[in-house]
Amino acid sequence: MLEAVIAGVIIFGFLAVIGQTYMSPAREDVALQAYQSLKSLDEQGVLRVDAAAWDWGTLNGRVKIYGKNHTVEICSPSQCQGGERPEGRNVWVGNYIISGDQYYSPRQVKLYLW
Amino acid sequence: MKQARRKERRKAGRRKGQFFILGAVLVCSLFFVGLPLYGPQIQSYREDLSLVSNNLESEFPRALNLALKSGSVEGLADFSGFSQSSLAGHNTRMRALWVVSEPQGSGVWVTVGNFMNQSESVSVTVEGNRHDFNVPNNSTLSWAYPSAPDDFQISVQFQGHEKATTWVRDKVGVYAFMEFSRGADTVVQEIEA
Repeated sequence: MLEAVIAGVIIFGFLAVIGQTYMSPAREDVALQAYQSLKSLDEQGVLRVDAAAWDWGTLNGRVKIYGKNHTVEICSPSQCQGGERPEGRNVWVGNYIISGDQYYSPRQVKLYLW
Repeated sequence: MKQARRKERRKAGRRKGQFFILGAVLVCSLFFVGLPLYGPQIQSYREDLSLVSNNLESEFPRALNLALKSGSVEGLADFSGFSQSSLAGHNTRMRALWVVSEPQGSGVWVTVGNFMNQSESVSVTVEGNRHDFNVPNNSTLSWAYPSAPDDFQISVQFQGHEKATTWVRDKVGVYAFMEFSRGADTVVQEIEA
């Protein structure tokens, strides 16, 4: 009886570890989700305006990804501005590079998901 | 006598129970034995690179337009460097080489930008007139081709690549070769606009 319980604990423990390691959302899924969200905002004509104006708060408010926390960071060659970057594991980042809106002003928009 | 038999049965029962534990360990180890059969585990890298490629495919012509709007094709060089350094922050290596043609009188003004992480020899032939550009890394070189018909033939040759096409003299033309890599994964893209 005791041995059966120990065997059960081994199997469930193993499944729990494997579940966390191998069953977490694939990197490409989350990166794709973040990229598509930024691309969609660009297609709506709002991403460039906000990024050129360094308005990461408004841009972050436009992101609609359910079931995940998110924050936006906007970077130029010389500086970055954005929300508090999360620390720890399972934080995914999607990137979108733009050259500017009405004028040349390159920005890298990063969307952190966790 | 009976007690001795009971003890014997219990012992046998324990021995059977040990097989449960052994079975559990075997099941766990079989998983790791089977892992290599699933093949490479880094498919996501390729997907990730294709997103970068998709992003710059649409952004590069726009960057050229904004650069020309600000008066010089040099903005495209700046954008190439910006993209390279932004992607380097995500462990993605970008190499790019581009050729831009702008109208100039009855001819064209051709600029070559090299961001291939090394010096490049690039041959550009416009309607049979060939010029060799030896472009240092992270820089641009230009050359005037004094005459070109309304629709002119242009060919670009560099490091085992060749691109031949027809462009309109009075319209800005661009050809860009881009390569994105991370580890063993590489995505190559050519843009023409």
